[in-house]
Amino acid sequence: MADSFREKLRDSVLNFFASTCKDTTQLVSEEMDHRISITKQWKIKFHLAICEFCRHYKEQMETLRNLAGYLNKEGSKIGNENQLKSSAKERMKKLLDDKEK
Amino acid sequence: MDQNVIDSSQWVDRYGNMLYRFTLLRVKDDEQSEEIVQNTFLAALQAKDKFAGLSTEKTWLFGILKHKIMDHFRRIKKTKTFDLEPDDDRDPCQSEFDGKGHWQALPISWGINPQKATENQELARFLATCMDKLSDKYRRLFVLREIEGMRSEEICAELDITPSNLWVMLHRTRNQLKKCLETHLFEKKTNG
Ligand SMILES: [Zn+2]
Repeated sequence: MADSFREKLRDSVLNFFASTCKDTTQLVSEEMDHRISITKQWKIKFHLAICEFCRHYKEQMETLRNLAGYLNKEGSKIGNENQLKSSAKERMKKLLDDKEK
Repeated sequence: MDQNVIDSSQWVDRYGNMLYRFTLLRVKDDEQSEEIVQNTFLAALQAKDKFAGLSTEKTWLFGILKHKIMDHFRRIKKTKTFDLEPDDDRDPCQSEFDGKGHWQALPISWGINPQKATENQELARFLATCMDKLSDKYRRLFVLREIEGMRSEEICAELDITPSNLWVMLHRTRNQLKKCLETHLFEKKTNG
């Protein structure tokens, strides 16, 4: 009696936390955008504890975020080859000069 | 050189390229970026007297530029919705799952420590290329969320998007970028 109750309880707890890899990737991304409910947080934790593939996915999302943050840094040198055309520079200088007078 | 003094005759040479690069990363289009930089200089000139010298000239110009870029996004909003539409790009990772939501093609580790990802200049450069392959809308949302670091509530309020739709779109965008970056990582591995 007691054993079967415990089994049922265990199954319902497992089912409550169980989510598919597909759902987990959605939650992992959602968690990057706002504070998710405790239940969702546990669903992620529970799933990641047993699924190395979704752990890779989460790592990849973190890598993506850090790379994006890096693009914003002045010292990154990414995009340094992009410069204002000299014609545009001349035009702007002239405009500023005219307005300044 | 006194950083807290305004010298508009030097602006274009000193800050032109910097402001342009910053804008191009966010706006993508070179002509529009040029125009935004020009409008920034003109607005700065008009507000010159309000420059209190509390920040450097450069910080001040970048502050104005950020407003101009956000204005640009707001203008786009008037003609094109930022919210989720039925014909938006689908999630490219959708096909990676079977009917039960299990991975079909199992993700493999990139072998990169996320905290040290930024040491990989090449990968960062490739992310910039991958971003340009996104649809304009997804690119803009990614820029605001991940480059600009705006909170999702702010983005929703500014651009009239429902939160759940924003999360769906960002999830799809991240998956597209993940796939694109993987192409690069995979190519590098097979080519040695
Ligand atoms: Zn999984």
